[in-house]
Amino acid sequence: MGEERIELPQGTLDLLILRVLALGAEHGWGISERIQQVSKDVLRVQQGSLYPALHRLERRGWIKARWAASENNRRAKYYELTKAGRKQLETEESGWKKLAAAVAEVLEAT
Amino acid sequence: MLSDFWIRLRSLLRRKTVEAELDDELRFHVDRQIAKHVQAGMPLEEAKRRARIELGGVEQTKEECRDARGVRLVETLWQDVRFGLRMLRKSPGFTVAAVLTLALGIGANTAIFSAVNGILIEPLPYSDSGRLVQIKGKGPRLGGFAAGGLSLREIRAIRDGCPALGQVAAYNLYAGATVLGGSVPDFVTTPQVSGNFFTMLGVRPLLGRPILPTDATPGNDHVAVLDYTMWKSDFGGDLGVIGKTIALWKKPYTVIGVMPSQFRMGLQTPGPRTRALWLPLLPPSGPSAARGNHGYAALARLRPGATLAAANSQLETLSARLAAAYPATDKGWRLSAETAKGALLGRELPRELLILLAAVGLVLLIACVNVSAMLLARSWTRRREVAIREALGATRQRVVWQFLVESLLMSLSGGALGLMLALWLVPLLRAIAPPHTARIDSLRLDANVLWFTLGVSILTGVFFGLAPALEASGGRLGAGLKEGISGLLEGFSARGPQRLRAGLVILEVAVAVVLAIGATLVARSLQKLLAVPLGYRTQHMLTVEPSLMGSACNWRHMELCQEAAGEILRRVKRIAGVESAAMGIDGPYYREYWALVEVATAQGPKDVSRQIGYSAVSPGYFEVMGMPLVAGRNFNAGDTKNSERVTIVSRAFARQYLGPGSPLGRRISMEKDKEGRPEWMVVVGEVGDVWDSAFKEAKGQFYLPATQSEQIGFAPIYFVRTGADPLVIAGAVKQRIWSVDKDAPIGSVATVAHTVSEFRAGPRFRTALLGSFGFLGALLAVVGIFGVISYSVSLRTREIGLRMALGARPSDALGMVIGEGMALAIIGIIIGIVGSLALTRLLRSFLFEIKPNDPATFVGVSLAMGVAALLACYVPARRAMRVDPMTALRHE
Repeated sequence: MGEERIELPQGTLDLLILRVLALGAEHGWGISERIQQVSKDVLRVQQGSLYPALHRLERRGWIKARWAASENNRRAKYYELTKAGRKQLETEESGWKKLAAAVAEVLEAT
Repeated sequence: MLSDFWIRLRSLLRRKTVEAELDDELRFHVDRQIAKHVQAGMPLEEAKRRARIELGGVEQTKEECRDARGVRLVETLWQDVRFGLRMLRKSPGFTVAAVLTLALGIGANTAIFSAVNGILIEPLPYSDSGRLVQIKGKGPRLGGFAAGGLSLREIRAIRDGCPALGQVAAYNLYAGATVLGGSVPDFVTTPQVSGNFFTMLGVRPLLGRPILPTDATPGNDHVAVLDYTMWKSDFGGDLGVIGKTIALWKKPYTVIGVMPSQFRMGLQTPGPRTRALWLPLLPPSGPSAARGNHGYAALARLRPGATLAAANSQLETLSARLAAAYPATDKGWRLSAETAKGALLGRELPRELLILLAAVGLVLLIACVNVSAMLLARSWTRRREVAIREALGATRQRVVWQFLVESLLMSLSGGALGLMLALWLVPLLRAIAPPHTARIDSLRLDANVLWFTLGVSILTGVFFGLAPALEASGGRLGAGLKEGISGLLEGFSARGPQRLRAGLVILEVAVAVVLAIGATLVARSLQKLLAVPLGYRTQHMLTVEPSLMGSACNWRHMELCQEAAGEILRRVKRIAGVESAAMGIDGPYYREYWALVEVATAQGPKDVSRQIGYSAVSPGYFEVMGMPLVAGRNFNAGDTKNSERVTIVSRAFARQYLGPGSPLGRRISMEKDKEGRPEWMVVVGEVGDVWDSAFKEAKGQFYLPATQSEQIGFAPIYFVRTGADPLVIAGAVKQRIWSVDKDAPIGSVATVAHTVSEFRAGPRFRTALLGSFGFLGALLAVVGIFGVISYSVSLRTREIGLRMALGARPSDALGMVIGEGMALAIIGIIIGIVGSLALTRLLRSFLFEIKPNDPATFVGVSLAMGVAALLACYVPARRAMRVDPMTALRHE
């Protein structure tokens, strides 16, 4: 648990969830852990907002859920990316990269 | 998005499972988090606490998940539905009344719409039928009539000279054949169609193959495609019918295909009852090639991108070219194209259907207004409930929604019940529709109709529910709770919704008046039609129409036909139960024979320049038909081919064309001899007029003696007068016909009464439907007045009691209530009259001897409506009169 944490900006949670799921099916807890790990504990998912986001993404058809045995042999709800989700991830990813690059440029110019 | 829909649906229908899954999912998360903390060295209790804090409020998370799944709206709706159902159950009387009213309205609308849909909206069942056109030829007007039809040469010219039209298929209009080999000789219609007819329409046969271009060549043309009726009746629906032969004109034809039952193209009578088969039409040769033979019709397909207007202008040019090239046969003939559907339906049918749809729509409008008024009354009594709900934080939107859900529940139940009613009404409609109504067999409750019913139900619910819903949620927070104090003022403060209700009553009375006036006009028109003295006997009369082309005679020996026809008449007369019998070429109700007549005057022959109907009849005809001989003599055995040519004219003929004075001895002519001189006939008698099926007027006509004319050929019509039920002797008459010509098919056996009643089927149908709509509308309107006035009295009980306590007499109360109700009714009636003046003009073409603005009808309907309204007010007014001031005031 690092000391320096950043609150997730609005709308980025969806992108992160999709990104994590692009690596393979995962359950809710696993997703939050993975985000934390990959961001080296900088990004922390509000667990209270994770599940509503997952259900919202599922309703939009970007991810789908199925019940399967977890690594500790319990029944867990696994989410995985759908085709539409993969497409969505691509657009969001490139959008985000453009935004980040633009912001960086503006910051460096001044 | 589909996943969206399924997730919402699943969330809704499998709520328990979904909730349990959500629980499991969150619990799994918490457990893993705890395990993680414990692994990091945290004590278990601390780890549990920590994990829960990290997740936040479990219930809140769940709630957010539910929102995310989009169940919220649906769940609210579900709540509203359950609450609505409870409210409806709480007042069953009201609910039943409202739902039944709506079911009646929606059911009738569904039934009429099924006719509009099946007949007007559904495309014809051919491929790309929107581009299919019927080509028509119309001849020059001659004596008030224009012949129609196309010649094969014209059709060929259209094929070559009309680029807007892709394919052109021809068929002949008046073809029939005798079928032998069954139990009795029979007659079927046999349209001959060009080789591309079936392929152009793109219809697939039920069995076998259609007629193809290779069939339409000499030597290969003895093939036949059966229609569904014929396949069922003559071959018992045999699946192995292909390859069997059928004898037409005593020649064998091979059956190559069977068409499905809906396919009727090329048949003169669109009804499903006539049996028919299609034969190949050979290229023109001999008489069929004659330019003057306009006995054919053509269908064509517009080329992609070509418009009907373009086709018509090309046809116009073509007509002019043909007229210039062949003036003898084609001068004055005009070609035109019209959509195939338009040609099939004609002009009257769509008009009539739309009028019926409008009328039945008005009935539903009245039903809605009624329910709306009832709901308004209830919304006032439910204001306390609304106030509580609003006090507890319900938004106005939420309250409106709740009320709308209730009215939608009612309208949807009404719709479901109406659909059941329509299940019964649609077959009824099909059965009572006039015979030969185009596409009548395509009336059914298909998807279109079901969508219509659903749409109408929802619209209805919103329409009648919106005003009460807005009214109920009127934003008078607290007003309902203060009821106790403002009790006395209630009568006055209730005026707002009461005004709205008054408006609704005026509206429904006005609409009911329009409906009732329309219905009365149509009914009186029918009454006048029935009162027309037909001029001939209809009871105990049988008509039998054989065709003697079987074996008794043929074209070359018409005198044999004449003899056979006479022999049959002699034998029929001898049947026990036959009082008298006669024959003719036409019944009194049809006019199939027309001639241009010249009248001999002192100044020489004068052309009356009008086509005049005539018939050739046997001597006993007038007596059998019960037509009075006004002057002169009847035909008799002395009128032979060798005696002077004689004729008998009708009274109207004498008046119109022979002027004043006795017609006897005057001379008229319908034919010219070889030198072009008129062949005169002497008028020896004058008979009464008869009305034909058009019922427009008793037209002048004249009669020839069958014994002098060769007109009675192979198709005599026998008129048999009997003592009892004419159909009883039908069998015996047929036997006598077959005893003379064993191969004679008998086309029609009917009583005159039945034939005449069929002519009136259209007006009767209209009257039955518009009449029931008018009656229903008026009844609902009266119920509406009654409801509103009763309710107003119950609201004003205290006010009335107070007035009485202050010295008003009971009769004042009576007058006040009746005055209130009648004011509404009278305003409604006046608006209704104005509306009718504008609308009944649409009925003009359906009215017989009655004007669309017939004053008697307008006054009568208005008075009847007024009296009904008076009665509807009287009952509640009596109650107001009996209000006891003490009880009313103590009621508080």
